[in-house]
Amino acid sequence: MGSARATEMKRTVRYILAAFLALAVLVTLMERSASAAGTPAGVTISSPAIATFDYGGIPQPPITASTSFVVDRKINLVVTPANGVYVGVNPGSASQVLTFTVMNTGNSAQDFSLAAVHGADPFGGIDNFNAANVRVFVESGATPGYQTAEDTGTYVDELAADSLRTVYIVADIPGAQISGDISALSLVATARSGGAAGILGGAVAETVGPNDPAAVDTVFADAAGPADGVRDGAHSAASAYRVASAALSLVKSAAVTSAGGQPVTGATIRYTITATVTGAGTAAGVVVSDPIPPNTTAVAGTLRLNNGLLTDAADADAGDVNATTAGTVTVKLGDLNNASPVQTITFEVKIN
Amino acid sequence: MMMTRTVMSMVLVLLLPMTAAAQKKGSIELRSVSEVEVTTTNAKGEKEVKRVEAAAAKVIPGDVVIFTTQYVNIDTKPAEHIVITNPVPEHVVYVENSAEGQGMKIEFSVDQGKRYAAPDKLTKTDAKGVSRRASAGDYTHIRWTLGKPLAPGDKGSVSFRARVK
Repeated sequence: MGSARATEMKRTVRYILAAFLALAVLVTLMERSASAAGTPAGVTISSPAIATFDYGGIPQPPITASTSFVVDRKINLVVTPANGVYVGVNPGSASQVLTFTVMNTGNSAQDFSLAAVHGADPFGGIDNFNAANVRVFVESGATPGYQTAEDTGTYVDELAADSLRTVYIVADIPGAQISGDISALSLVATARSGGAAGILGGAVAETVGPNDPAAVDTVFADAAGPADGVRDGAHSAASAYRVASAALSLVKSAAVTSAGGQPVTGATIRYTITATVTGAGTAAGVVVSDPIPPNTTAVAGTLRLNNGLLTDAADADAGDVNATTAGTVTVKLGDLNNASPVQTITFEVKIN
Repeated sequence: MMMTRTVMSMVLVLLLPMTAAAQKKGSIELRSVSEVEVTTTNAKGEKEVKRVEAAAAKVIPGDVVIFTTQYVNIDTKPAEHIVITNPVPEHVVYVENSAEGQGMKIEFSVDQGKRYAAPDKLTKTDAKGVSRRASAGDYTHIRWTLGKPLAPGDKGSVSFRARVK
């Protein structure tokens, strides 16, 4: 009985504690989100102290003293890639996009100049080529995603404290690249003076030497990225393209199907070709052409795709014999990727 | 009209001796400073923490500022019942357990100085009417009460730290 009550009490206390903690966490979160960037630059913080006292038992008028200082400009920003994995691209594709966000975590509105630099692969692979024709554009806000006609700005204009903007690195992938090739690029954003909309403000320098109590000084508080240093008024983050062309593998086998099982004159041989796509990307418009071996003749009406009979004529179905190309079996498999089922083509020939 | 004039003159009579006393015989003197701690590396490669006046230093959101008020009795007789109050300035948050003052009873207010109490006796009611123990971020005022009279020439200081929002 006694122990039961004690347990009950402990449980109640635990619930109260849990509720208390939950509330505390909530309050902390709310306070943080309310002012992440903090007090605006240029605000004067003053602290007035008041003293009251008695002298000879008589209350005296209060005495005050005050101290104040001006909050300086904190330059801080965070560049974040929108994707945590490679952006798959095909060889020879133009205007491929890496997406980033630039967040102003300082306490005043700033412009940010933008640059894209080649660098190391952030996803652990090896950067082995440079994407060409690299450009940087800012999302206009009109249509989400990179739009060639809309997103033409090349710097972040008047980004308020605590706000973010989407920025795209746009580049072309050379046609010579093969599957697995990687090109990494870092977006570097550098704080510039804000204040005038429509033009990129001048460079921002950290105030060096003694503080000017009358003016708002500038302090860099940014972290280092892959392409910039700590407290340099800039931040960077890397992302990467990976060429994801598909690889098509064909396997051909032969079996004698006539009685006796020997490849003698008059015997029938069935050929089986399997087509499999591996790797990322899509193998577009796959066509399998297989010449009928010399000294053999195709057996009419034996061409099959995935066990479905195809006519020998060039018509609506996927395959033909001797029609597209004389002396050749041709089967159009269309677009295949690594999710497509294995394609199996069979046909029979008779040894002359 | 007559009434007003009478009241006015009464106030003057009451005020005059007091201000005169405060000025002639002196009283206590108060001086406030706001400082930040700056860490530098000296010639020996050791880290040194130095206090620099906040107005002469670079202060940005997230920095902690130390507000100190020094008091001294410049009178010839003891000053009694010394109470120093300091609102937690706008744009800063009081750093928990940072208020100091030798021989001082330190209390806090969460309601603009209407009521003062020790941290463990302060509660704050949220928008839903739920009462919880006040946290350092809720403090609006700090009050230091000196437990004994301050002898002529004696001095002391009170201080607290706050983080710039």
